[in-house]
Amino acid sequence: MNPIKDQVAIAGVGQTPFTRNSGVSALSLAVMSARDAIADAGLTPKDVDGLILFYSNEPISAERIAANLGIPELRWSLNVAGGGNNGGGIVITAAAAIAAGLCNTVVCLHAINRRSTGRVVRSDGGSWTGQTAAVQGFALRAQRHMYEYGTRQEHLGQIAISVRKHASMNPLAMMRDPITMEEYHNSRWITSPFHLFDCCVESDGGAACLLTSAERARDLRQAPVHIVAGVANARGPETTDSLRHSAIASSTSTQLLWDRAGVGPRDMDFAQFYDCFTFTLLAQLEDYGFCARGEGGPFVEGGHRIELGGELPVNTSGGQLSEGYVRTMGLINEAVRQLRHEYAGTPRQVANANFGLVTSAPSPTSALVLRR
Amino acid sequence: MNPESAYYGPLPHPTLDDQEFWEGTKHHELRLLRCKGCGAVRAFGDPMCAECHAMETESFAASGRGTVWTWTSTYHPFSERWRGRVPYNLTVVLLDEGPRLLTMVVDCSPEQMRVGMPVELAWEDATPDLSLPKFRPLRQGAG
Repeated sequence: MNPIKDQVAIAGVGQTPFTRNSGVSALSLAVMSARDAIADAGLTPKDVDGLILFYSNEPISAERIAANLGIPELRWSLNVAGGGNNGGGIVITAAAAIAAGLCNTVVCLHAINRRSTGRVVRSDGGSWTGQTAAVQGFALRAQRHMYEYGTRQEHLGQIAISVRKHASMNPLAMMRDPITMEEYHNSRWITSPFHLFDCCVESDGGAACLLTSAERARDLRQAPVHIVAGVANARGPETTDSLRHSAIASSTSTQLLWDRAGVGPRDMDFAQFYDCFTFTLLAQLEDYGFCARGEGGPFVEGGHRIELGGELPVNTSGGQLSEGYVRTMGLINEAVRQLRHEYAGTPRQVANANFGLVTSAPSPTSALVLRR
Repeated sequence: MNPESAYYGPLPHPTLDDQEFWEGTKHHELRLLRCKGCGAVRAFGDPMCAECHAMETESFAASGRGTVWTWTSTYHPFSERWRGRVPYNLTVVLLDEGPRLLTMVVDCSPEQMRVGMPVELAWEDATPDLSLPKFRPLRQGAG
């Protein structure tokens, strides 16, 4: 049962440039991306009556964003505390709010500025165990995955290489120079089994999308991208405890997504996986059923399956590994542009793109299935 | 114990849910909880037994032995505090009693680390009132 199915569409997307030092606040980045998403839909802030965002330590709020945009009335808004796992979650939650009649037109956004709000790592030195940064938690799972399934360093490296190849087609990506396997192996260790090139770029940026009813979206400026199904911060047996599992998303959470969508992994024309690290992309290929448990490594070997032109092109903008890191929201915008066929006539366009998957990680799991 | 401890790293901040664990470290006891309702053993931190939902527990000292379940050798000092102290082995130890503990394995190079390696407690006396339950490879002849 999925009463939201196809009832709501993404009618506009907006994002700022992704940079290392924007020199402006996260709030500035947030309001610029919201302004651009509204304009992309051919609307004005007076047409917006809903707002949802997530934040960790960014000083952004629905109140400040509405004030900056001059939105006269918000019928529904939420400030969700937390990180990247919320990206798909705020979008499906906004879709549910629209489908339930709580509001009509919602801006969903996130913005991040490492200089004005602190770097990913803790300045206090973290825990006595040496755990100071999120990357280490993912490295623990990656190491375990290697032990359990024979996943190799080269498998992680191939993801870095393939996603960078996609970024080389994206003039807005922060990292566009192709990398070789030798360069991957020679990049410095961060925390084993992760080299520098296994880690996403730290960036400043804001990204937003605008949702409204599918019926209304048909009359707006852009081709609507329908929200088929989603899950918001779901958990299951494989993700109960970060010290216990090597999975990123539980099979119960991903099955819930496919059941609600009425389509499956084989129906996806592309996937934009949450790629804070190469390993999260590899694990989610298994978690979402694109291959069997433990087969993520062999699936990415050589890169032909996961690159543009392959059976499942992934992270076609260069993802968070190479384009920029705005915690899912950039991945959602790329999915929308692919489904609008905005890159038609260029190698970046996924041919005949009709269905796409966007994920947010780590556990809990949020994800969206989108349709042209 | 030397009150002028050379310990450089961050200290834990005991909470109502784990202060008894940290009290144990002062006596070099790695304490675990046994549920009084069903006997299930768990680490400190969660006040309710997930098996039977009882809140009542008794604590006991673990053997201090276990195996490496997974690890990551951290080379990048993520804060100034760890500069000059890398690489170190952030490790999930599967205790012989069943629960897992996120800790650090010392006296072991990254190249020597492997899943399944037997380890034993190697207490680091951080302050006069608190010691850190780090681990090291199980020494030959021990056991």
